[in-house]
Amino acid sequence: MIDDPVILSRILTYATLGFHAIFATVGVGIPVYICLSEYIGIKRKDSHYILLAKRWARGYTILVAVGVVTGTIIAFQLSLLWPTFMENAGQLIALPLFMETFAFFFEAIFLGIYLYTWDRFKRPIYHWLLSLPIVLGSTASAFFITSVNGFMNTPRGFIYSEGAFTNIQPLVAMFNPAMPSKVSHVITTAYLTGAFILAAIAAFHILRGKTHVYYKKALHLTMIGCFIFSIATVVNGDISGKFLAAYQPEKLAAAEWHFETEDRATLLLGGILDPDEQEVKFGIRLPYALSILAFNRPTAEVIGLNEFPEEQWPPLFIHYFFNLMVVIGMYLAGVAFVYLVFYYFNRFNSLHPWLLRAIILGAPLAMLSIEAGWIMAEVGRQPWIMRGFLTVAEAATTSGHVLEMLILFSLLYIALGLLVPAILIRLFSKRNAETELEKQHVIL
Amino acid sequence: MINDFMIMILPILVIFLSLGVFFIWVSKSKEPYASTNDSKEHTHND
Repeated sequence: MIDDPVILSRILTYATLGFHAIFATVGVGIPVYICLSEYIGIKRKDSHYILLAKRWARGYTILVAVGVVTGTIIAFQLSLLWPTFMENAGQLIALPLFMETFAFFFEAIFLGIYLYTWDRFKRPIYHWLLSLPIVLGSTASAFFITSVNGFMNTPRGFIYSEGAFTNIQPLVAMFNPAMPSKVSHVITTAYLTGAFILAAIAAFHILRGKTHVYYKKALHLTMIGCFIFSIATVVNGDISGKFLAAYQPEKLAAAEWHFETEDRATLLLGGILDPDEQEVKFGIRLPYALSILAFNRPTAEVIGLNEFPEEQWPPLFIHYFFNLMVVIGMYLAGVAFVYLVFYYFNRFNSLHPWLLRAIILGAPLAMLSIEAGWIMAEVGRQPWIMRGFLTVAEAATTSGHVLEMLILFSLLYIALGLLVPAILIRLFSKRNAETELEKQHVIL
Repeated sequence: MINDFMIMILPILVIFLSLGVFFIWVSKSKEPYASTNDSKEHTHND
């Protein structure tokens, strides 16, 4: 039985963050589509889009409610499981943590008003305006909380002397070098994942024989989002590579099993590592690609892991999570591209069953990619909780009761994980879209 | 070639640019699957 509070704290934090990431991602991603769908519905006087916004908003509300539970748990666990981190970094990250809470309340208040004021305004556009703070609040929430994570990777905004942090500058800490690339990557992948989940629902209904144009409109709107945000994600991935090469070269080197500093560095896909010999078998090597990813130049020199003390190496298994994230990202971009080519060039059926199946598969894969990306980002920061200043082992609680908390919270997550899909399926199957359109006397 | 603009500014521009392109693309594009929308020819009472 594991009784080390450091390991147990890490497992519990992973369980909480891994579970929260699902709801947080969807919570950031879906409002954009609710907002845009209502806008198009008003502009074109099209009830289908209005109903899309209504139904998406209903499902979104349930996901937000669960996200609140897991988000609150994280806030408590930060202090309970990582007391030394909060003692040292608390003053530095208090600003974005507070702003994140503010942004969430901003979103939640307007979501409540939005839900209860359908058809209450003389001009529908006034109701649509209420969706803007929801988009703004959810995205701002992601911005602030990701800046805290950025701070853990590139701590700034203080002077460190004799074990104490002085001259605290919260704004400098918040706008740390890791913040822009991380924030942008998190937000665009949330928009991408939200799009794929909504597209998968529409594709599922079409595949089951529901040919109503309502579903086709939902599919088309979200597939455009899938394509644009997958391209944005690829661009952000490239920027993240450059950020890592400049500020966290050991993470990039560990993710790529790049041991020796060399120019014309190759990018490695897959493979099996012999850690003693530092040799890789069966991997696919792309010449110059790592140098291009890191510095935009095929001849650029990329720092290898051997430049760092071995005790500061991140776990080398992050290579597989990095690869998984990249491969799924390419799959999502590919599916969205194929759909749009089929749709706009009219030579192929953009509603072909196999393409619809590929879209449906994209939803769980997008979520898996989010999880893999977070594992790569967080495990890749090891052994540090605050890079260069405080290790995870130093920051963890010494309490002997973490195991009980781990069991209790795991049961809660399992219960929520079973309940939420059941509630959503029940909510939408009892009131399907066709019935709602008929009730509104919409011409079917 | 790699500078602070690329690491500190460009990522934020990517968010706004992609949102802008998405908004314009969707709002300016024609009604999707209009040719297959034969259901609009009938009311549910027909």
